[in-house]
Amino acid sequence: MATPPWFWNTYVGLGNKSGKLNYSLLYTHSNDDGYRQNAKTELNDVKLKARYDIDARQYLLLSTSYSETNGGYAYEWFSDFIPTTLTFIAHPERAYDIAYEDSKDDLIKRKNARVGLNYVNLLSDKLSLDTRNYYNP
Amino acid sequence: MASEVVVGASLYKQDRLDVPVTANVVSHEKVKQESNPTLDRVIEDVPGVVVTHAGGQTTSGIQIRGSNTYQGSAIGTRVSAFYDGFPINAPESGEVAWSSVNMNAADKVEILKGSAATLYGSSAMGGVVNVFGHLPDKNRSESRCERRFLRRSPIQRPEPLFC
Repeated sequence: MATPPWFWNTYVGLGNKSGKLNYSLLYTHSNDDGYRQNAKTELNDVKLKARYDIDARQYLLLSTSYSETNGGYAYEWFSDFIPTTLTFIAHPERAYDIAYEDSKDDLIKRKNARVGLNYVNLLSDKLSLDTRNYYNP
Repeated sequence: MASEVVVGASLYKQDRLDVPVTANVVSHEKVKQESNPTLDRVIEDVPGVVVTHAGGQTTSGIQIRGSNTYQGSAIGTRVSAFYDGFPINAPESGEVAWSSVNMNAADKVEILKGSAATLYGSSAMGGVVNVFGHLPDKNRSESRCERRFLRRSPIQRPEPLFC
């Protein structure tokens, strides 16, 4: 009998509201075996969000995140297009992870980062200014 | 029908039943129930949202009401995703590494189904996924450690009607 899929999810975080500053910082580590061969994923993730109230009508919001994932590489199956029947015939026997022994345990690594700064000014009861600047390296 | 407050439909707080597009909200409680709360896992139960894991965890794809990939153009599946209002779509392909977006720090997720291009641009023809990060209103620290496993029952095949 196959081993059942296991999930591991753990995080630690802290946050506070002190005067005009409001913040939240959270670190996550998770593992997911992905249900099938070599589809496992490991994730490390840090998120920081902070808001500073300039006054009653204006605030600055900072939202940042950084994550690293390491997971099984997903190989696509090759296929031939049959124009007469408008169908595709898949050839799994030619897929890298099936045809080539060395490719079975290949991994794909991702790094995502984002820094965003949001300025909001409630100009009046019916009009507000909302500007967003962000950086996605 | 339970009513909820949504923000993403018009960028200000509205009752979910008053907005002109179909909106769904995935609550913080629902997020906590997930074994591994990545963005794709959290929204895959929303009606009209289809999550595909055909290529494994690293390449999950999201379609809303059948929005599909338009080959040759950098719009992915025409679904725009935002975290705290900032885009998380890859600029060169328009796609989101949905399984890389962790939801442990999220308060809620709003899903707008159907075209939201007027507010969010042409890449939001299929819909919009808005994630709202948590901000505590008092001193708070928390940690959680969890391990779960999934067991599936064997498929019960029906008896053939004709031999």
